[in-house]
Amino acid sequence: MADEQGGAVADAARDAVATTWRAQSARIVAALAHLTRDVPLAEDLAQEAVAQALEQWPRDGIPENPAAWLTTVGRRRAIDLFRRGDALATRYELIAREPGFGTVSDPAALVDGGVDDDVLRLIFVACHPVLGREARIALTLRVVAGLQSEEIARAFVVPVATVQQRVVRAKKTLRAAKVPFETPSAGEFDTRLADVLEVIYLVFTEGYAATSGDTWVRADLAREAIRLGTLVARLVPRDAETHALVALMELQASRFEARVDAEGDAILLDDQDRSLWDAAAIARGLGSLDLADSLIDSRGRGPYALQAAIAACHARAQEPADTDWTEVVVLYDALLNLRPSPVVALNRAVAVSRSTGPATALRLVDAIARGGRLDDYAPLHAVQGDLLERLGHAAPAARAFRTAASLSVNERERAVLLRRAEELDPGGGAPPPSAIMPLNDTTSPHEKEEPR
Amino acid sequence: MKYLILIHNEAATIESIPADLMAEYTRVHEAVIAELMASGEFVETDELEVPTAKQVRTDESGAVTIVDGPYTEGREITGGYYQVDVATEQRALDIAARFVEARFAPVEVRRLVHNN
Repeated sequence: MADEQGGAVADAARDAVATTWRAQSARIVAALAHLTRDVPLAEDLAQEAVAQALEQWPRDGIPENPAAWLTTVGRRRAIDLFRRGDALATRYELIAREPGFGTVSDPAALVDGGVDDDVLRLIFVACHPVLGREARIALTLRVVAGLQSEEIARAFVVPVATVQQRVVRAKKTLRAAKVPFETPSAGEFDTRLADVLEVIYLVFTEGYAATSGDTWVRADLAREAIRLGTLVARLVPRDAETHALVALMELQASRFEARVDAEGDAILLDDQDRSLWDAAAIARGLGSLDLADSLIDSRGRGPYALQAAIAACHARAQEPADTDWTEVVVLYDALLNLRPSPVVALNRAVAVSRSTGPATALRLVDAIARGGRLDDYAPLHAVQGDLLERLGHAAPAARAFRTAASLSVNERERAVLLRRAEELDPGGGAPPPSAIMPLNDTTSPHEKEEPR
Repeated sequence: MKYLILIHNEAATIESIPADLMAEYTRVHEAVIAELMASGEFVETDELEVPTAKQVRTDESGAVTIVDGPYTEGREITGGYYQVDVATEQRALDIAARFVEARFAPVEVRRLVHNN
């Protein structure tokens, strides 16, 4: 049927818009900001171009170079805008003088020296101190990394509307403060850099352990983060933590190929075929860590260097049994000292389970759970389930795995967790017996005691 | 054959265990767990929470009396247990003898009657 065909074409066009935006938003917005010197305006123009693409591509077909199409449309809209405002006439002339502004074949070709520096400027603007930390992260993830608001919301465990509001407010703030499209001065570079590194790492994490959808590994996003980190490292070659961040990302990314099986299911660190680990990425990571260590001052290793050192412990181990878990625990202790957090404490507990044993680790994890801050954090329950299983408590382990599965938004991860639960306690995930049978026939005395 | 190894603590001494001895307790437990898991003799282990200890009695009329713990008058309380699946009773006794707790209070070894 013609309608069905039309529907398929429209779906393909919509997919193309989404894919292009995901992969190229940073370059498109950066190219537009390069022209307009105005990041919020550039973002608006890019969004308008996306809206036009959603209208036009289903009808006219997907252009040969979708990113260039979006950039060109954004540029035309910028010019229309400037034409309407006399005050901006000079700016219009500036743009009009740019070679071939009407027919951009590649957004990178817009600027001499490539679009990378503009992407970096874009990140510095998105991470500008006039913005709150959450706004910086939300804006960078959306504009630079091209994430959907839903994904950002999940990463921060906040409602989607909150993220959308954050982005809108962030852009208003940038506009009101007339934040220039430029790299920060030497004086403020270090503090601005710390924010940028944090955002880059969050982008990496989003790509490394996808929080949504059925794709465990979104390598492109992680590679984008590594690329941005490497770019920043090139710009500030004496900064230990920047090299450490690159080391951390390279070492973690080295395991991409080994992290999923043929069916797309997750493979845990212990079960990974280590021959699939990317030796070149490990070498780059260890090199960056050495470089970082050679640059540290009297304060010692920073948080990224400690995390990279932990990743290096895994990368150096030919077999899981070769892992120096005692060293990993020591590194986590240092990290906890520097950055106290229940998530770090949980990771430390996992290392303790390997260096000391499951009973000790379970006590630590239970204490973290009692803290209550990780109630909705799937890995907490997964770790609890794992330790309970190792201590022989099949039913509570299955319950913990099911809780973890209910909290996990990654379909493959959820499948792995549910399978483990089912193996331990078949049918245990069925509706509570009380729903289908008289309460006193089925519940244990312990359960009856609960409500009081 | 399945045995329950019941580890008792002298209630009065629990709080006064020095840190290094506590570390030794832990080390032994972890080593035993690892060994039993490797040999296939491990079934399960758990600790019993002290502050929730309660005793329930009923008399002939069916009246229920609940006595709250913990019992601090020098009484032994059960601190935890292991269920092991071993070839001989001697093996279960050997395992029980390794726990540091055995130095201060008895560790009980009981064969399971029905689940064997």
